[in-house]
Amino acid sequence: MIISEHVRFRGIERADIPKFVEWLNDPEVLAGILIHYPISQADEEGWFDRMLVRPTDERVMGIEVKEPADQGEVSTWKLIGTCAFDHIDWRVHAAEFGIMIGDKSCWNKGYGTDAVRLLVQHGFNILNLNRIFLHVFDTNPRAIRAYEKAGFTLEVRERQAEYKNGRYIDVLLMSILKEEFRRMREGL
Amino acid sequence: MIYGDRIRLRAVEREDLPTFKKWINDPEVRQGLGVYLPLSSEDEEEWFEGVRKHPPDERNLVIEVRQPDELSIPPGELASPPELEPSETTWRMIGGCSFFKLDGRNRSAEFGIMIGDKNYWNHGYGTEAVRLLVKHGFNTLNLNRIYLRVLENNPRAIRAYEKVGFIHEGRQRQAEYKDGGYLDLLVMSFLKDEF
Repeated sequence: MIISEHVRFRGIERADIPKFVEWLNDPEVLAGILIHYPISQADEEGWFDRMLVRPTDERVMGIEVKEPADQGEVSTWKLIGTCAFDHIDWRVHAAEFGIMIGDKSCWNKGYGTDAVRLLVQHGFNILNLNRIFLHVFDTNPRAIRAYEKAGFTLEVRERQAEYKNGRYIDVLLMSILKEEFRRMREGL
Repeated sequence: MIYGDRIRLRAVEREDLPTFKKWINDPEVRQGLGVYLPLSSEDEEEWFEGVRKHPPDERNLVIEVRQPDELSIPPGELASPPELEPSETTWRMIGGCSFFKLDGRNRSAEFGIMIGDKNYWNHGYGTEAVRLLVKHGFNTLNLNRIYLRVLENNPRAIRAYEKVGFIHEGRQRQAEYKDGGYLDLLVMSFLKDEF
């Protein structure tokens, strides 16, 4: 488990699959990700099995947030999305990542930013990466803002790199380097 | 066969493999490539078998230059179609190129190119090959976006892409590691509108 104050990552379970199917068929969630076709329970089961044979550091993790507990109660954690590193290059020490907050009741509360911060910390401090990058649609200002807050810099605008809703849109490439992460930490 | 002014693009043959092996093991040539391990004949055979399994539009192509001594057409004039070619015309292989990551839905593709024969560096052949590949991409493959990545320390290649009309989109910081240091990768692209 990878834990910060408000957010934690855990391995995903087969029992989580129905949740993923629900999220991945939600048009509002789909607006920010690469999937453009209906996803079945069977699709997700196939995806889950393939995920299990991926390198351990590239496995998908479930993002959970702490639910407010009543007095005297133990706080519980709620699954709100997923994230994973992808294409880890151990020679260049670079990796891409993807993240999705599927539970829309948790949008605009800073959880995405917290999760990105935690993933970046894991990438630099545990995986010993030097460069962490991501792709984001320029039609997704909420995500872009979260990445900026987490310390990412816009480095490439891939013009007309994706086709969505009848038109080409730009895809932004953003990155954070280890030295920037370190400087941010020292500034805190 | 795809014909340009001084050059043409043809399919790769098994007989080309020793030439590719020689080029890719040349330290000066690989300065600009993503290859860093010594390459064997066996590796090349495997690569060739792999290429044949690529989708047709993503197969590697050989860049050939019409040999000047056999040239029966004044320089600058368009090459004649193959069937009208004088039989003595010979072509010399100078490099390779290919599209990859061709995305049919987004109509985009990345490409890579190498001029392996160093005698043909700095004579505009790379620029001409890129122009021909781009034309093929837009006019035949019906692409909308063609892009490439190039190491920041390869000004010769960058200049060629600029001359063809590629636009700088940005810089992937420290995205490659070579000779003990990180290097940036520049991303450049060309859109159908601009073509």
